[in-house]
Amino acid sequence: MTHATKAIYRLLLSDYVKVSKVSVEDMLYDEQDILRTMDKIEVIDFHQTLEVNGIRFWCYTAGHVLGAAMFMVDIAGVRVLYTGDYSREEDRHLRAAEIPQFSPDICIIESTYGVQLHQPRLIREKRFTDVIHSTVSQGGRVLIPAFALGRAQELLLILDEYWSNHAELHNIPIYYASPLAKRCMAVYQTYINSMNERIRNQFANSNPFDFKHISPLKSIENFDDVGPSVVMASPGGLQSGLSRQLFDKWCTDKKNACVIPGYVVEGTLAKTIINEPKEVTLMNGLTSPLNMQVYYISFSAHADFAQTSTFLKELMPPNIILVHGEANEMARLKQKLITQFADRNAKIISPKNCQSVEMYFSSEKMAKTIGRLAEKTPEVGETVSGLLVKKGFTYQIMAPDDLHIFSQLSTANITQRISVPYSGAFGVIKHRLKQIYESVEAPSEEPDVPTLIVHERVTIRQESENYVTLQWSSDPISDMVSDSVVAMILNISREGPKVTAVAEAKKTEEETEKMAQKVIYALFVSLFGDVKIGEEGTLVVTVDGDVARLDGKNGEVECENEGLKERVKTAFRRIQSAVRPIPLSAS
Amino acid sequence: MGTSVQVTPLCGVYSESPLCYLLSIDGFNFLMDCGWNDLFDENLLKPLARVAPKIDAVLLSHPDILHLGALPYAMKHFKLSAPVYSTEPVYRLGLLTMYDHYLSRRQVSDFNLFTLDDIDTAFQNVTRLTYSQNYHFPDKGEGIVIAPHVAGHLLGGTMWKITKDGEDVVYGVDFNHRKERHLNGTVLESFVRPAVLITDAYNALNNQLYKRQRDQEFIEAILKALRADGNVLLPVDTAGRVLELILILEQYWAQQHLTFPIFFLTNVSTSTIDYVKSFLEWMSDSIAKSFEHTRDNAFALKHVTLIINKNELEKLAEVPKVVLASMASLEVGFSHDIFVEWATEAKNLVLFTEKGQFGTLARMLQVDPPPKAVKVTMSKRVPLGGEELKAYEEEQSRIKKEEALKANLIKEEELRTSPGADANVAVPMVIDANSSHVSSNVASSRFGEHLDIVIDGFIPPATSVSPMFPFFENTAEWDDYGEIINPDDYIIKEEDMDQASMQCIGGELDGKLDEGSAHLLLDSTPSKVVSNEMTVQVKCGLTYMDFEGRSDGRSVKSILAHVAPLKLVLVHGSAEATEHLKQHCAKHVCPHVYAPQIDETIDVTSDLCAYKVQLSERLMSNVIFKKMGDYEIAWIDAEVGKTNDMLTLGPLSSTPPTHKTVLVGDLKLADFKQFLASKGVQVEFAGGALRCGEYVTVRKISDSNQKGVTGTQQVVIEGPLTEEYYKIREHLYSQFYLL
Repeated sequence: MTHATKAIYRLLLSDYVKVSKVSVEDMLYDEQDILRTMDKIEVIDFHQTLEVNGIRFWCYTAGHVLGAAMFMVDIAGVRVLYTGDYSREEDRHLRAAEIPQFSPDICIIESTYGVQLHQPRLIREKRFTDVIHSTVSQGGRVLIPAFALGRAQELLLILDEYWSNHAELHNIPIYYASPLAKRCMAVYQTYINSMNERIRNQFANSNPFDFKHISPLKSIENFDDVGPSVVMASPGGLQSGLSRQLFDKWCTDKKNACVIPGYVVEGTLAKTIINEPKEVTLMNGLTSPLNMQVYYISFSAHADFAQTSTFLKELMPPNIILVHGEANEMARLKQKLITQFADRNAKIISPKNCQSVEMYFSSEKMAKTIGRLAEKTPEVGETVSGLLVKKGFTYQIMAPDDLHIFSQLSTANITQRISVPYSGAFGVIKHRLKQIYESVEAPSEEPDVPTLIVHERVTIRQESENYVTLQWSSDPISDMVSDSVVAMILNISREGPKVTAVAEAKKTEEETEKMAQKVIYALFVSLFGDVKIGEEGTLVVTVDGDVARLDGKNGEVECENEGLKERVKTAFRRIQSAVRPIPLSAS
Repeated sequence: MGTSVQVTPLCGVYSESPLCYLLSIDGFNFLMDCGWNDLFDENLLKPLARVAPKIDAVLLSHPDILHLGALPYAMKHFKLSAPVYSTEPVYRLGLLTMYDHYLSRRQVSDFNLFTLDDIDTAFQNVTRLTYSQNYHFPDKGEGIVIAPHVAGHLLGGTMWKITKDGEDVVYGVDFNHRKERHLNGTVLESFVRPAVLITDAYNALNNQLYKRQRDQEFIEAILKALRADGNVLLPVDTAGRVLELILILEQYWAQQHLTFPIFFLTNVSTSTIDYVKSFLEWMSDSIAKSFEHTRDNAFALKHVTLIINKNELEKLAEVPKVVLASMASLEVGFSHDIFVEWATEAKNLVLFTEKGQFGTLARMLQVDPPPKAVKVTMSKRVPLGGEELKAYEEEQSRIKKEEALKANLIKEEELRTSPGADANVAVPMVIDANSSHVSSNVASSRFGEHLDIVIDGFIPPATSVSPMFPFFENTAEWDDYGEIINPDDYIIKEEDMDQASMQCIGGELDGKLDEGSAHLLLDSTPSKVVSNEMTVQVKCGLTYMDFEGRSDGRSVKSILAHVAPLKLVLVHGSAEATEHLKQHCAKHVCPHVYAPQIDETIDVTSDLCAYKVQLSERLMSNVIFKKMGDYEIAWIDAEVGKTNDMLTLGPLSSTPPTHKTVLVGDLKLADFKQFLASKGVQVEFAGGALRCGEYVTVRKISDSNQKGVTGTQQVVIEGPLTEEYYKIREHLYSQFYLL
């Protein structure tokens, strides 16, 4: 969350904990839990790009309340915008929601106001100030029930400014009554930089949240109710607390007024009095006539239909997901958007709670070949071999020697040196080795001790009368060669010198070929099940009705099903390389 | 092929002069910082003057004179019109720093290199970015992305990362890796292997004391002077390091319940702190945290008094006190005046917290041993009186007359064209075109002398023969529905409230100025500067402590080794420091280290080859990645194909050739030791090698200093043929990935 959100979050939740006077067992969380979450919260500044596991995200101003943000999430090039609550209308202190620089692939957008349209801000403000002005000038009191944070600050700005411009009102006090008031103001006075140009310019003169005509009010005891005044008090629903106490006091006088400045929850007194009933029930249970004037002027900062549709028109997202709205209102919005964007064939979805929406994006994976491997751009048909390094969603192909240059990874060579007890003649080892390996050489320059090199991999040296050492650098094939050499040396010492010419049973080419085919057939049966031997060494593989013909000599596969063809081909290639002798010369 | 990158220093190499470098990336010219010194020496800017018009963007890294001081001057005189990019605090505090310098200069001299308006104009072009915000350049700079990152040192201090085609060029000067009271440490270490790193060698030869020890000495030095009934002067910058000093003092005063007054004295001190209070997002985590928990803004100062002129100090003349006053160089400003006053008393202390700029009074006083006496110029702006005032007034009225004349001529010029166009209505007497032309010339020259006698606002029409008041017929246009009106005239202005408040803002200067300073600016009483040279006997204590908030030499070296850029460019630092760091880096960091001279262009284009390919789905489905930290890695053998002019990689049609096995991993013997111990093998270090069990030893022969150069580690395992050998080999293999 943003810095301002984090500060407000802390305030609101601790206030909730303090206000909710339920038993300890019913408490959902306590102050300690809030503190623990504070350490877990990472802050992000507007436009700052963060990356977690290769997923990048950043946020834009949303214009709903101070610190409100819209998040853009970029996963391997697919961008998702989540607006949260947003408003495209700039007000006194907040910037309007930004239009992101890049169009998202999916836009998850709120639909609180559905197809409704707002009154222009200036008209609303004028109504608001007119009502208050006329009430106080006739000697009445004005009660504005509002939440302590968020829209309240906007209203205070309006009032403070109106008072500054109307000298005749200067003797009428405005109170901002909330136990949170002072601490809320500290937040607003600090995060000036998350607000709009207007406020920041004013800040150059003096902090606009240092109100000149508004004084904080802690509780009703400190309130000296003589003559006209304007009081903004929480809670906004008039359920209890200070706003209710004042309401009870003032509701009988028809000179007084109550201005409800935004959305109110169903079932609260504030909702009830909007319909201007004749009588209301007071907190002490008595009924009393409702004579005071009641006005409903909405200042809630959600986008209306005009804003939503222009926002979407500019962004042109191919997929729109509607969330957060009352079902009927949302359905109407969906219909209207569908007709509006009919020509662009945008997909509009309004999922229910817990219903997941799945979308598939096949993104082209691009890799960058760098370093030694890229010295020459290859032609079609050439092969490229190297390390494919994936970090986040970026791919790079490089030669192993370049790995440490382009990444933090490094490569290693492991040299192994092992001494094997052997007291026989070195010549015997050489003789035996020559029987197994094609290449057994003495080193080019004369060494101090008898030395042999097998296939340029394993070096065998007779260090002393009692043992020989083997040295090689690790890789699977060298390990295998060395193992066989060790085994051989051990056998020599065990069996003693026994030189017998083994008559090598030379297999004919044909037999080898036959063996190989047999093996291939057996392995194919275990892999695919239904395999028949066709004419001229072809294998016919049948899987779920798809037939693939494999030419056993050159590995050609005929098949209509691409997937099966690929699998057969790969299987054949792997079997081939397993059946053939291991190439020992280092490539 | 790689992106072409050139660096040309314009100022500030092989010396500690201000920073200013030209960096061009594929022909797009960045000006990295635009600094000047406290003396405003125009000679330093000559190289900048030559290149200024072709610059496409200016990036600022710190809000002090050395990094942005020349911006207003360059904008005014060098046709520098490129957009400027910086963080919000650099913009704001930079602006205040410029104001403070201007006002300090203006008080003691007829400073005319730039005016307050020039400062405002220069800073109007600044685009503000937040840390890690990726800004994509449009048009000419297509494909270039810049992002500021935390540098430490000063509030809002920035390291710029410029990316093009996946290659990073990082410009990081004056960074601080240590976390301080009000700032987080730099994130330079999180950049890995950038193609080019441009950094400074300023502190290459300096090593610092531990922070706590340094703070302690700092406080002790101050308290010693105060308890001996002396005053302490801290010459500081306007809005940079002073913030840290304020917090140190504030914290200590609160802990110890001290009552000595502390003053923060600059021309803009109150607005500086006001702005700083709203920059919590840019400060250290601990400050943000304390605000979240207690709502206490660390810069809601309880012990430090903000003042904007010396009157306050004079009231408390006898009380020992601490004064933080700008400028740090003691050249001009409050610190200069206070120094001259206090220097002659031995009980006072002048405590320098940063190295003075070359050639300034502060630098002179920092030599060891300090000079016994220094020459200073005391200047004062005094109101004009008597003869001078008369002369001045005459001069002013003459200028005014000239201006009025000029204005009138211009107006006349306008009038000649405007009513002349619909002259048919306004002036019925039409003489033929030629003669009217002549007569207007005659008229203007004839009435020239009389103009200021005639009522202001009246200008004879160009076409008239003799002077007369202009007559405009009220020509209302009519159509079938009546007079044609402009509906806008009848709209009730509902924005009254908005406008009223906006207007009062518009009238003020863009940045907020303290009343005293504003008074000074708007004060139009004629004044002149009187200066006299005097010699000050320096008897007060002089101490220098390093509170510059830059990484020290040792840390710089280890950070550079960690970042391991492919190419390194060194700037800003004395000749010795630059040379020293160059030698060091060439040996231990990377082979390509450059330290160019002024106006010397070096090409640091990476010799890296690269091309892009598309990875086909069929290839990727057969690749099995192995995960190593942030990376996933696999060996591929692929065949090159082509679709739509794009190279693609698909699977091989034939059996892949065998390749040399690659072991990937970074073996740390110490970690391996623990690993083996956990597996129940007896291990110990013996002579640099790891002895495992009875007979087997594991050694590393790669030398770690050369990591950047060789890259591959050499590990040797040896021992007799035993079961243990194979077991340990197995464990060793488990530390690597085999590809």
